[in-house]
This record gives sequence, C-alpha cells and structure tokens, in this order.
Amino acid sequence: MLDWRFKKFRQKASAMSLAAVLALISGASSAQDKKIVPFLTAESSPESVQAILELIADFEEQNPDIGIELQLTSNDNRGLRIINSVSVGDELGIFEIERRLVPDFTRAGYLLQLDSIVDEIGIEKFIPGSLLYWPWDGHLYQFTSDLSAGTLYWRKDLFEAAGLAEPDSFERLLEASERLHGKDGVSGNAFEASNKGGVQRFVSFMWQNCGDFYTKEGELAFDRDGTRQAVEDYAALNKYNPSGSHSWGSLDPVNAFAAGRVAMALFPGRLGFQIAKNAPDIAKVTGNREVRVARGGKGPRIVYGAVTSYAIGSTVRHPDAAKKFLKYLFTGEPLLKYAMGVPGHIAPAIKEVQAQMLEQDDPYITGYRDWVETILEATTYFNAEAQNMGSVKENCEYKKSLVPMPWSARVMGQSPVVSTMFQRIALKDVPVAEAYADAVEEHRAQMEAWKAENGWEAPDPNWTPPGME
Amino acid sequence: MAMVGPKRRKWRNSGTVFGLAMVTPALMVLVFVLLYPAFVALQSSFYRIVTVTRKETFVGLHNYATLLSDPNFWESFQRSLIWSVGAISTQVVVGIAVALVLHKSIGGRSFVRGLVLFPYLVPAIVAVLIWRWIFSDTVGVANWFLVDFLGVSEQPIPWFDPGWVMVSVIIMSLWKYLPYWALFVLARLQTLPPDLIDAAKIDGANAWQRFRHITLPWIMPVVIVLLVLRSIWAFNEFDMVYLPAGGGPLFETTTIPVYIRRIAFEFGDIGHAAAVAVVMLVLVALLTNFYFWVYRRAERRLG
Repeated sequence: MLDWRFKKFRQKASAMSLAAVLALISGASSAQDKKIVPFLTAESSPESVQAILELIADFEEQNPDIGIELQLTSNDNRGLRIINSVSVGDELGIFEIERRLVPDFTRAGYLLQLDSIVDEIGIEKFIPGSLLYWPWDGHLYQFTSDLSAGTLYWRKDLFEAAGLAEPDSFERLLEASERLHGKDGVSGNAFEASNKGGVQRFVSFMWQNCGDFYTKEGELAFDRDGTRQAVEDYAALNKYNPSGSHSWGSLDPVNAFAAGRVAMALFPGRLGFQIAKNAPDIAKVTGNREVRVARGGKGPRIVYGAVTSYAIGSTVRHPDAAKKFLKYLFTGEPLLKYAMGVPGHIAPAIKEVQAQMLEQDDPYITGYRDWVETILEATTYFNAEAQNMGSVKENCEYKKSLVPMPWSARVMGQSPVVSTMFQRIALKDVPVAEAYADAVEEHRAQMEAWKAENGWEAPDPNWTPPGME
Repeated sequence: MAMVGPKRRKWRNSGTVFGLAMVTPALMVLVFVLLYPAFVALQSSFYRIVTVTRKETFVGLHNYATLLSDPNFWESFQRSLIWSVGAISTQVVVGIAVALVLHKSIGGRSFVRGLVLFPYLVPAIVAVLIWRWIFSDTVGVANWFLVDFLGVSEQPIPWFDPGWVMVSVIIMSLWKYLPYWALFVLARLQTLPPDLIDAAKIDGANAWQRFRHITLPWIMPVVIVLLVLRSIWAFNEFDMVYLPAGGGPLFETTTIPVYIRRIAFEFGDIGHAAAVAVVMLVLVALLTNFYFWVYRRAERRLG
C-alpha cells in the first residue's frame, strides 16, 4: 500500500518537475528571443516613474522583440551603482549619467556614441547648447532627456504689505530680506549655504557678476573680481535664511516655501508645481520671475540649471535596441508625457515639445502658465557649473562651453568648497575675505592635484559645438 | 583491495574527517566573505587606484604616510569617537531603563513590548527622514514643542548647525537602536531568580541597592556583549551618520566611514580609502580586545 502511494507520489512529482523544466526552457527561449535592455534611472517622483512605466509598456507593445528592464535607484546611489557595474563587468544598458562621471567614463571608452540619434531627429530641433557634445572629439556620448532651470519665487503678498518692489536686483533682494526677515516666523530668503543647494543658488550670483570657477582652458577663474563681489553679496543675503538651512536637503527649500516660512526662493520648476498642488493658498500669493541678482540688475542673462542626460554603456548587448528606446522615450509624444509628470521642472530639450507642453489641458499649465513660460525661457540661457566650465568670460561674454569640469567631484562633491566657504562665514563668523581667500586656494589646489594625477589637455579653442554655430 | 593501516584507520575513526567536513562550509564563508575582502583591502592600500577606471599604481606605504599626517583623518577619527561614545552611552543607559520598565508587571505589557520593537524595524533612511522632519527648523515639531508648547527655550534649537548636529544624530540613533538594547537586556532580566530580589527586600535593601548589587551584575555580561557589538557597529556606522546631514555642515558629521566614502568617490582614490579602512580595522580590533578584557573581568566577578 505504502509502496503504491510512493510510486504515485513519485509519478506526480516527476510530471510536475518535467512541466517546470519545460516551462523554464520555454521561458528562457522566449527571453532569449527578446532583446533585453537594462534602463537605470534616478527619477523618483511618482508621477514621472508612472509615466516611464506606461511609456515602456507602449514601447514594448510597438517593439515586441525588445524588452526594457527598468531599474530604479536613488540620486545618491546612482554613481556608486554605475561604478560598481563597470568594475565587475556587468552590462550597463541605458543609464542616467552623473555629471562627475562623464569625463572619466568618456575617456575610458565606457560610453557608446549617440550621434546617430541626433542625426535622425535633426539637431536644429534642440534648444541650442542642450546637447552635451564631447569637446575633445566632437561626438555625443550622452543624450539629453530634459533640462531644468532656476527661477525666483517671491511672496507677492508680503512684498506688497511691506511696500517693497519686485526683487529684480541684488539691492532689492537684500532690502526685502532685511525687512521681511523674522516677521511672523518668516525668513527673508532661502538662498541657503547647504552642501548641495549652496552651489546651486550661488552660481547665478557669480555668473551675473561675470565670475566663474575656472576658464574653459582649465585655469582658475574663482579669483576674479566678479566672483569676489558675488561672494560678498551672497554672504550678505545668507544672514536672512532660516537658522538650520545650512544642512538642508534638496527639497527643504520647497517645504519651507510651501509652509510659508520664507519670502523668496531660487529654485527649479519643482517648487512651483509643488506649492500649486500642496499649498494652493501660498501659490496664489506667489510671484515667479527671471533671476536677476547682480547689483543694479545688470550683468549677463544667466541662471543656474542642469541638463539631465542618459548614456548607453559600450558593453550593452543590444546597442540598436537601446538607441531605439532612448530615442523613443525622449522625443515626440513620449517626451511630452514624461515632461508632464512634473511640468515646468522637467523641461524638454526639444523646442517643439516645449511648445506642445504649453498647449496641454493640465490644471498646473492653465493655472500657472506664466510660471511655466518663465521656466521654459530660462532653459535657453541657463548654465551648469560642472557641464560648462568657463562659459563666462571676464568681459561678461557668455557662451556655453560644453567643457565638463573634470575635477568637479573634488570641488563640488558632497561638501563643495563654495558651500563650506559660506558655512564658515555664517556659522563660524570667519570674515568673508578670509573665507573667500581660502576657497580660492582650495579651488586652485584641487584643480592642480587633479591635473597632476590625471593629466590635462584643453580642448581645441576653435571648436564650436554642433547646433551652436 | 587496498589495505588501510591501523594509524590511518584510527585517524579516520577519530571523527577528525567528520569534524573537518562540518567546519569546511563555515571556513569557506570565512575565507571568501571575510578574509579575502580584508586581504584585498590591505593589498589595495599599497596602491593608488583610480575609482572609475581601476587603474593601479604601486605606491608602497605612501597612503599610510599621507593619512597619518592628514589633519582631516584625525578630525574624522575624533568625530568617530565622539559619535560612538555618545551613541553607545545614551543607548546603554536608556536601553537598560526601558528594559527595567518592560520587566515590570504593567498593563498591556505585551503590546508595549511589541511597540518598542518598531524603530528597529524601520529602515535607516525612513528613520532619518522622520527625524529630519521632526528637527526641521521651519516645519519641525521638536522646536514647536520646546519653544511654543513647553516654553523651555526662547529660541528654536538649530538642530543641524555645528555643535548641535552630532547631538541630533545621536538622538536619531538612540531612537533607532533602543529596542535592540531593551530586548536583549529584558531577556536577561527575565532569567533573574526572583528569590534574590525577595531576599534582598527582606534584608532591607532599597530599590537602588537591589539594582546596584543584584540586577546590574546580573545583566552585565549581556550589556558587555552588546557594548562590544554596538561599539563595532557604531564605529563603522555609515547610514545613520551620513544620511541626516551628508557629513556636514562643515564636516561636523564626517566620521571615518564618511571620510572613506569621500576619498573613494569624490577624490576617486580607492587605494587611499582602503588604507583608512585598514587603520580603522586595527582600531576596532584594539577596541574589541579591550571590551573582551572587561568582559572576562565581569564574568569572573559574577562567578
């Protein structure tokens, strides 16, 4: 009896095992038929992730032979994960590339050339300067998904009540900060000196005062008069921040503004989108304008911003499939859908899609169209410190250089030299001149140390980036 | 047919083969998971290794010479000590206190014991986000509670400014790891024979004397073990120190692990980072030896 039962059990078990093996084999063969492309992104907003998931599903339906394997990571972990993948020889598919990794990765030959994608679309369709060509060989190794640019948000109600004029110059920013600071728990401004935010807020002051960190030839520019002026001005405004802003995370200025605790903030489009959604009463009394922060509102028209871009690892198993998806995701209708995840914060790099964005029947676009227009316009003149080294000349001439700052991780890593300088001034009462002098030397020392270790050759000075002729 | 000599047979029957077979898996894990990475770290510390490209150049003892003369290393070491001592001392005191409360026959004890475990189950990133919000200078409840509700402070406390930031991080760590202490100490307390306490009561010992002369010596071996483990973890702790303030402001939360990350991923030198890690390993080994010396003394005193 027992023997009979055991035999039956054995037969059933064998049948199930066989079925499982067959299922595995068929699954493996269908997976083998599909070209699987890993896609790593640090996109974190639920709206954008949802948009990406839907777009992947659409793409896979249109291209049944291609499968996209979405991998989500955090901004902090992104670089580490990419470096680890390279170290262990893992396949790097499409990935959002961190700015500081671009020079080393491109030089080491880890990235696939992506010129063909732009050739198919037409370079004239892109916002000039939004495609980051590699100045040393003129090829494209990272494809721009979107742009972001800072604008100034200010509390119109508080300004009007205090009889203050619109903040369109350093003097007006300072006056408003002084007069509004401390009233009803409101701080004058959110131009803070936190590790990350300090650099992002300060650079607009520096560039509009005709200063810069380095020249595009790789020489120090931080010792220019314009930079010194910007340091003095920013330090003066820094006195009117919320007290703990030196340790703020990237979204703390948004939270502070939404909670009605600051009178002014310089931030990309996310701030406007968030307050419209979560703090409509604050949004109603908020103004948004172009950032003008030099004395007398003079100086070149530049604001801080960033290019978010994706690269494809040169070890990718299906390069054509990867390029096809990259082109699909960040052009036309899909790009529009992606950008509408956080409208205004994600600004498409393609002019036509920017125009389509403004025509969308979306509550934020219709309710705050002027804000979105201001932000989109700013994407035509924004600058990014680590992506465009030496774009501002001493004579105030501004042209994006597209020369990445190879030592950016050293001077703008977790504790950027600029932020440390402002923290010393604000928290340790170090005189501005002394903190600035130390920062100048630190910028010089780090640049020289990097050059000594890695070697430096400036790109051809006559090279003009495609699309910017 | 092969002949097996008496010596070999004896060796085979002695259980040595079986013993070796049993030990081999653990030994392999030890070799591949612990010893090999430690060896790689030691080997890397004699090279300059570019983080991104892995290009290696032999530099001998240069990394060690650099770090020993580097003020940033010593400042980070000092902060590691402050952090470790601060975190562990608060955890041991509050942990024992909570365990004593949980040991009492109070209503809803099981529920409270379950609740106490909650912070330990929360991932570090979530714990930090919660506490960043609590300590936020603009929207946080901590300052509202101290300034507006209790009125014990006239000005909001700048929780993330230098001078306060390490205190904030230690409080966050206390919240996160308190359950760990409370549960282990509670487990030990439950093995304390009630006769001892009863006898002490009959002899007229007050609550403090009973705690000082009976309870504390009884829980001491567990406390020492926890001290050893938590000290090693605290010294190596990265997430609970790094996440609240990213090593700042002004490097005030840059402990040695955070400093190692900075060297490896900002300065792009894995070799130098490995040298710091090796020095840290030596320091932790010394610390552990010290603890075990104290542990043996405590065991001897307990008889």
